[in-house]
Amino acid sequence: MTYAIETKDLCFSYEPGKITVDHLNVKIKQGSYTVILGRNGSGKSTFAKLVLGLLSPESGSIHVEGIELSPETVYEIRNKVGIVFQNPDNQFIGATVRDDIAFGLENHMVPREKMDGIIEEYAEKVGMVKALDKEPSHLSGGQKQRVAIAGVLAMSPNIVIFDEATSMLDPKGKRDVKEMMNHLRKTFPSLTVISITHDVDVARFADEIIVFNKGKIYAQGTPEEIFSRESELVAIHLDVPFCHKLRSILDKRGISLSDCDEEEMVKVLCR
Amino acid sequence: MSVIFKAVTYTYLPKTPYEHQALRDINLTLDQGKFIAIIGHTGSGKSTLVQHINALLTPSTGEVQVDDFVIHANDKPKGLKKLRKKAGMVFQFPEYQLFEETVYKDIMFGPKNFKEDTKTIDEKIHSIIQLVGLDESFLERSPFELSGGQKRRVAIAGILAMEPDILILDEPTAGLDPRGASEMMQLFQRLNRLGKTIILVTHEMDYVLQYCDEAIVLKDGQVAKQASPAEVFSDESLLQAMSIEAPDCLRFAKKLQKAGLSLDLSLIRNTESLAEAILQAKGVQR
Repeated sequence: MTYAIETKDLCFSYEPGKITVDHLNVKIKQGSYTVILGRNGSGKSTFAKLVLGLLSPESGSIHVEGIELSPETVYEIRNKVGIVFQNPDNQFIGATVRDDIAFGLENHMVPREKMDGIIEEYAEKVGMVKALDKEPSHLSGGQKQRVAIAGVLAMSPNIVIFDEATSMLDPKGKRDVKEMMNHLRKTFPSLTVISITHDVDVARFADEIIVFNKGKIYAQGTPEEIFSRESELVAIHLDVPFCHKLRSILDKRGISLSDCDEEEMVKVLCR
Repeated sequence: MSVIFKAVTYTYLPKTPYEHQALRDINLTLDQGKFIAIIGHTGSGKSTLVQHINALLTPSTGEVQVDDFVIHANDKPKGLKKLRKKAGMVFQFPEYQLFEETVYKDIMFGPKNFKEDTKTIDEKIHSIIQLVGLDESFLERSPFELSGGQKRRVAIAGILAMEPDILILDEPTAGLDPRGASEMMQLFQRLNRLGKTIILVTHEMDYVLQYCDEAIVLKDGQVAKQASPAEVFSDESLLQAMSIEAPDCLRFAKKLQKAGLSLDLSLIRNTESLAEAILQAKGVQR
């Protein structure tokens, strides 16, 4: 089976003797929505940088859709993988939204005639057509992230990585970007979406969650499987979504709500 | 010491094509000793507002009163040093401001500038490092080898070393993992209990409900509401206008209430207290 991303015994340290990514064996399925969850310093962003060839591993290998990452293949791999970073202000290049989406296309020498159509198409997909001639400074944080997403999608990647893409946004911006991630999965069913976060609410909708701790995989499974291990997650500085937390407190006090979703909980509790 | 805003407006880059009015007719009283949240969208004027409290910005019209300091529009304020000692500001990502070789020297920088004597400073540093949840072994370490959360604590210690009565925090939990963020909030709660006024700019509604006495909601540079968090989060039309969602625990409690469970919403501040309220309503004994 070919994975979107597969690493074997991947190791990386920023300084000698302090390992950040420790013999990591990750397998991310093609077309999946995978969330990488982990505390600060667990190695999750370093992992993304390694996959993009922004850092070079000490040892081990990385395969992206079956191609091994090497100095010869790094540009081919970067064509397959797009990334949206944490701070929307740090990734804006163009003077207008249109210019910003055009930047990547220009670098890929897409002919001018084609470019306009592509820009419109992707601005449409992220709901930013009306803002195409606006300056970035006039956009909200959530809108900036949507433009960044359009810029990445315009390069038609097979894999998009969101690296803490909601953590600097206000509540509306967060919701915008979360909805956009779900929307992407419907619009591009073959796209692999990887979200790196410690926001457990982002993780609720994943096909699969991979929990990182100390540069290794601590756990891997569906949201239900992962969030049923509350005390372990809390011990590694993470949290569980509201529903799971409430269920587990009530469970300990004799009110069993196993596997109920919110609506079912209301029914049971109000009986 | 309370902070009073009287008819304050603030305009960035006046008389230029980029002119932008960030605050419009702000009238507010922030009471001494309270834990106050300032909430609102990006661009609603939160940071502009708090920067008036220690005169980093001065009003375009109106006046700001902090204890016996009065800052009027268009006059050059005097005694700023004293004001800035009273009202300490922790910016977003304060760890970027660390610069000294050791944690000790970094914390010392502020009080040294205020010409305090070395012995007083030394005693202070040893108590402050513990107050922010680190131990004395950190003092001789380089701030740059610490984790993100630890760096942020050191930066906050540097502000605390000036013994401010008011601590202003601009999104202090941004980027921290759940444990780091909740430890940070507990630190502010501790400082509040020691008598400091805490003014917190935040997007995290869960923390507003759990820790704050009062919330000020800004919209387009104006005060849309000043009330207890419970009151703010029960104002449906305001929430909708601001596209803010109430914290999950309160939202869920309202659902239960609607479905017939009798709950006292004013007691609910987090998931734990919601669970307690449910158990009580169901008659489950402790």
